[in-house]
Amino acid sequence: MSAVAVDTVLSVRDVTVSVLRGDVRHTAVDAVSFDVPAGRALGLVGESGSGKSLTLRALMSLLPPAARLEAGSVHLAGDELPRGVKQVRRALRGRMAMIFQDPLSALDPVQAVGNQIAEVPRRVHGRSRRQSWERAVELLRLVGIPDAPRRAHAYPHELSGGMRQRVVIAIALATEPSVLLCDEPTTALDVTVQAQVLELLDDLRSRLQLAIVFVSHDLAVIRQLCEDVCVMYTGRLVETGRTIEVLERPLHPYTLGLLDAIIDLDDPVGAPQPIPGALPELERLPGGCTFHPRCFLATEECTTTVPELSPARGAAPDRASACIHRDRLISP
Amino acid sequence: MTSVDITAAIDAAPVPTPTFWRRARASRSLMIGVAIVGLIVLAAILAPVISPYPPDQQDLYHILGGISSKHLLGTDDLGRDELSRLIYGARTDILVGVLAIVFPFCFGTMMGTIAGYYGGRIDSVIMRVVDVVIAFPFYVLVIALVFVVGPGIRGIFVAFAVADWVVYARAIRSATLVVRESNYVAAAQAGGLSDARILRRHVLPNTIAQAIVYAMSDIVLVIVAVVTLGYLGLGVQPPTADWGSMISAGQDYLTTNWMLSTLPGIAVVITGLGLSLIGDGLADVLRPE
Amino acid sequence: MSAVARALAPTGLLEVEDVTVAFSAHGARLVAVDSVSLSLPPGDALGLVGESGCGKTTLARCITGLLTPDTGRITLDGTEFSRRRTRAEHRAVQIVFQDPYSSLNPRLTIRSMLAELLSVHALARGSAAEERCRELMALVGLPASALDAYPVAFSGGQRQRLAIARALAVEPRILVVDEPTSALDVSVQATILSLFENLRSRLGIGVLMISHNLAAVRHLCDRVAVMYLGRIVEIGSREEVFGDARHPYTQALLAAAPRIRGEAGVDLPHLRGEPPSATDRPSGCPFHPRCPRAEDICAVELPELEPAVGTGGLAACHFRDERRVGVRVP
Repeated sequence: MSAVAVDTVLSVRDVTVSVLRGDVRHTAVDAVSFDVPAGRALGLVGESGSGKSLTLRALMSLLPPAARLEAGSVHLAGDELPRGVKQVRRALRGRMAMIFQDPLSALDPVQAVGNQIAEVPRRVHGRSRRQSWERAVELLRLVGIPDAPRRAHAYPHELSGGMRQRVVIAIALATEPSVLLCDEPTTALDVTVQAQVLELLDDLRSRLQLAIVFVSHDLAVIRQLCEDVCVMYTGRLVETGRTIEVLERPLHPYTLGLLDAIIDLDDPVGAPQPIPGALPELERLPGGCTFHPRCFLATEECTTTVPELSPARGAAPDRASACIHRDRLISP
Repeated sequence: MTSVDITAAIDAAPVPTPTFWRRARASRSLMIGVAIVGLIVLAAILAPVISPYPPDQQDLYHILGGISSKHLLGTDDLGRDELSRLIYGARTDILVGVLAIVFPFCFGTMMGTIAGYYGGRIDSVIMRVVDVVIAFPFYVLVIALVFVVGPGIRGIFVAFAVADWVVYARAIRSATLVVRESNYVAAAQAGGLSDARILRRHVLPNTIAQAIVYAMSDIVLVIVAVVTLGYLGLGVQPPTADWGSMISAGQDYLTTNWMLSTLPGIAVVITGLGLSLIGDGLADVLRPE
Repeated sequence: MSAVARALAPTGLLEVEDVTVAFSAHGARLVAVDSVSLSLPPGDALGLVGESGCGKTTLARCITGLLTPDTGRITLDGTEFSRRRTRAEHRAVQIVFQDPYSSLNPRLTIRSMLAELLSVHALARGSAAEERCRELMALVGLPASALDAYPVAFSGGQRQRLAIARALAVEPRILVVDEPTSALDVSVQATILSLFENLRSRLGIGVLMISHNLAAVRHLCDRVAVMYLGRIVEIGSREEVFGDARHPYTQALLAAAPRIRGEAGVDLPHLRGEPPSATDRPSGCPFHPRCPRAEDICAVELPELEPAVGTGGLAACHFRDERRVGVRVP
């Protein structure tokens, strides 16, 4: 995955993040790379400890104190992002924005939402108060909030969860970014509200040609929004490709395991099969392929060599798997 | 029917939790605090053994003596050995300090637990009483009570019993309000356990840490109060050695024998420091993760 | 359910009759549960679905005896529960909570926690209690060594299993599970759900499962009730509710649920607006402001939960007899 397509807006190469536990540094994200073109959504899916959230935070330089970016580069529309938190923040302004899981804690409880959005054009783009407010109302309309001029005066606690998340999206859009990073933004929402927010994100993606990176543990949600997907396990990418393909013809036993463990609404009465074993702790990652203790395809080789993410034969270039036995998964 | 073998899905064995003692040993604050206070307590216990002189033995021929081979820290205005009085003072003050908080601790915790768990009118009544007591400036209340009951250790105990329990009540009530909403308490209620049992085994163990930590600083507070009262002549009565009255008595001689007032003061500070460190350390150790 | 289990537990019929729970908050009256009636036959599994504010958790707490309803009654095998449940009454209905991280007392070892219950209900003491504790661990798939540990030593999935073991310790007839898997990883969810299925068939326990995960409910539950703003708007068998939903809200839920295979609800109109607050109830049918099928009558007359034509289920909609196109779930 070295050649970068022409319209790639976000290019992430070999991002590696370590986390301090006790006195030892452990690798929590291991050489993760992906590209996102304008107007496309990429899903980053994994369970706890997969490193998906840390990856996103590393891109925004929002890592928690115990975590550290060890290696890797991030390019936004061809420009490499500098290291160093302050420089990154300045460079990111107006180019990449992020939304989080809990909208209530992302909003200032003592400020009207209109003000919180207007703050961006006022401070970042230097607009006047009136212009900024108008822009805020415009953004509220863009994210589908009815009666926007009136709602702009509301406080976060007066709004429902879905509305708050829309406000958060509006704030993110106020910087006119080309990339939107989303860290499980719908996990805390009701299913009907989730559907609305996903629809909104999809609409914004195509209308504004946003590149979206969407982190979730829910494969079904990713299926709704993201054309492409990267599956992560213990900090490594184990499978990538177009979402439909990955879900219908997985090339990694972990992906297959996830699909078997999930009960899908449309699935005729299949009993969910748990993946044997348990997610390993960060301090006790198995050697070689970290999935091998739980894998029905594992051989001697799997315990010693760390498999590389390599393209699948005869498939699209970004279709890749980190399993040396992937051929056994391809059903005739 | 599912064919999943439940036993095959056994996860990794649970990680063993370090025991309380191991965590206690790991806490530097706690260990240093225990060392300091432990030494002082030891000195207090062994007072009759390690003191060179009885604390009230006067020697009017050798008053206000400085450091000498016979009196390592000098003598006070009645010729009593300063070192011995310091050691016996530790005995008095620490004993009073610890005993004085027993009632406030127990009563305050009980009131706070009841108020927090049952809520409603019981909570209102108890908290209004707490509000009334807190409204009085602490020292004013203590001094007034000592005046009424009479000076001396008994007065101190009564004063603290009345004035000090409220802080525990408030702290425990807050903690209880939180714990009351937790799912494990709900599970205990759903399990048909009696209120008494729930309070004893499920609520109190999860709230008491706050009271214990506060108690450490409360002992310091008592000692300082005893010292203050002693300074005002309302505390421990002479000839019993006590740091407060020693500080007070030594005032007149600050320019000539500064050690008479200063050393007991330093003793109070060191004891307070030790207790605070214990409080800090316990706060860390008692946290449930 | 096996014949043996049924023979051992022929009773356990839970009936909720016209239960209402209302709170007063800041002067406003908030009706959390509004005249809800349902029944859970012995050994059956009933799923309760709905979004935030629908009252399902409040209802669950009433059924478990943690909350007393303002009106209505809850009975087990025909006998009404006392307003303040006795120890024996508490035994009959147990609950497993959503958040595995706050449902175990951090200060007690697992053995302590279980032994206390066994002792208080006079089920086992001493070595018999120890034996029973080991059995419970085996039942939920945990090693006996888990008994010596404190909750902090366990992962989310393991804690959920411990919570299940605790609930089973008193040998309940009915298990209420409140969103048992939403706080867990996907691969662990499957384990827990399999565990529930297994226990239900082995022990013949009735299960009331509250969940917003429609797929899990469809998998585990024989019957499903859908709640909206404190009322049951649809109730029926699994096939009836999922395959032939007659209430527009149920269809909206089915449409909105994301799927792995295929797009969510392509043929169905999207639901507008947000779940309303319980203090600001719309007139007539509470769903009408968001309902794609609403007509004038809906703002005026509250539809009752009544049988619909052509199906065995009940729906609280004026147009319950209409079959919805494009709602079939295979």
